[in-house]
Amino acid sequence: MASERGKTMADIERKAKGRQKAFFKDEATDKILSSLLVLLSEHWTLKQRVLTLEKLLQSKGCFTPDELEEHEVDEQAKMEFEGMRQKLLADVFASLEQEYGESEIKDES
Amino acid sequence: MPLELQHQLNIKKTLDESSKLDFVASLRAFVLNDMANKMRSRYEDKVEPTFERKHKRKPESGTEVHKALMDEQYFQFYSSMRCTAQRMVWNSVIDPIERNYDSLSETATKLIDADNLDENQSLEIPRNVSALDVHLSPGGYSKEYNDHDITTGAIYDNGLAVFSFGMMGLNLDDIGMSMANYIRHTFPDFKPEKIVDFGCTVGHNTSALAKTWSDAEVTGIDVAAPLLRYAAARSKSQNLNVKYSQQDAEKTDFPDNSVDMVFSSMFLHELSAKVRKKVFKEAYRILKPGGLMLHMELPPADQLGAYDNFYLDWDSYYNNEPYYKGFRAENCQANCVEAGFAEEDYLQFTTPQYTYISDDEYQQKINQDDQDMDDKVGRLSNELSWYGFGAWKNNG
Repeated sequence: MASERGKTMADIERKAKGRQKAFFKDEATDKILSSLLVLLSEHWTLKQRVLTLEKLLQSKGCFTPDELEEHEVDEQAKMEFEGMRQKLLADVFASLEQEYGESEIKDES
Repeated sequence: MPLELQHQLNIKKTLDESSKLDFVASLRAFVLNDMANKMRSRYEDKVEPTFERKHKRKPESGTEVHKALMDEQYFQFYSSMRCTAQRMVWNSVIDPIERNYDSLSETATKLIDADNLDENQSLEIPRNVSALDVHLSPGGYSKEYNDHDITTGAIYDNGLAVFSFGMMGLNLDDIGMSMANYIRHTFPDFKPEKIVDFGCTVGHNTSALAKTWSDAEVTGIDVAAPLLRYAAARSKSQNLNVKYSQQDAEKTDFPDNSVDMVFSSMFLHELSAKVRKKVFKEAYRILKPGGLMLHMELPPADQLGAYDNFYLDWDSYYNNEPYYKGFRAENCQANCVEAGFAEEDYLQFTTPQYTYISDDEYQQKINQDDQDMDDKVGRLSNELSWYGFGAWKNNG
């Protein structure tokens, strides 16, 4: 579900100041690992929603497991799904936009 | 699992938002328990013996352990995943805060009044707060989106609930409860009437002081107004009598000899060494004779082994905590003495978590504990304990 942004204020900052440290020899590995974790989060979110939904509908006797397998959605729903897949891809690959490198902040103690 | 905040600023999350919070909390628990234990095993089984063969001795400092581990793939996975999890903590709470901002702001405004919040708009925000997004939190502590903003407070409180994966108590105040109750049990005659909490952020531990000494006048100070506005609303909604005042702990407006207890938690390591010395002197100045300065902090490096020092200093290297390692390298007792406290009036201790056991069990535990430092002190993981130190201001 896409969040509805606050109306009376600017969007809240999403990125902390400074660069993200890379730990692997090729920082691409850090980026892919980061994407994997975001993807896992999305996967879990989706799974929990589907499981919750199935439990709710089955408890109300709305469908049987066979009917769920055989159901096909309409064209409008298919368009909506495409939009959601694009957002999923953008979220999962947000790490590609993150600048990696040595921290610019030094110990000033 | 993340907690529902125990006050009126709690946000009703959507199912998806809750699932994401749960996931990030589980990810942090996995990295900080399972992966951390496996990384230590790999260090002991492989990295340390390799180092020993090459240097004819074991690593002697956290820095040496860190260097020896940097090429180890498991360290790279651990660290990379922990950094991502840290960013996910904040991002997972920003969506629901943004979505609920208007109602959250309205609730806070209703709860705040002149009696529990004193803002000082002319206060200059120190660079260690304004120039740095500590803990990789977007906007840090002090960013203000409008002139009555509470965003960073909401991010900190909600983020801490995810970050601590259920290990800081329902009210996120286990540090404050554990410190206060250690003092209450160990020094039963000490009944502070006036308490000041330095660098109180959202007042989660300030509240613990007000609960423990319910007759005391408790004031939380911080430089960041959005945190204090949130703190004032948070305490008020829990019917706690706490005042919040926008002040710099380096130079407060409390008169000389006017306070019974100066407290801080996880605060000193956010300051440069120079500022830290001034804060100790300020605490000494405002304390009454017989008063207590008490700080909860990360344990000092000279009291832990090389691996544990590496493990705790990880945050300094990778979590926007530039002063953390420098603080841990200092001698806490020497700092107290330099500020004016007598050497014999110094105290330090470790305490088990107060929140998850009864008061009687806690008392038994602190009587039995030999207060040795171990790898569980100050480390967010199973069976943790907290480190505290401070000094009494003598009557002389």
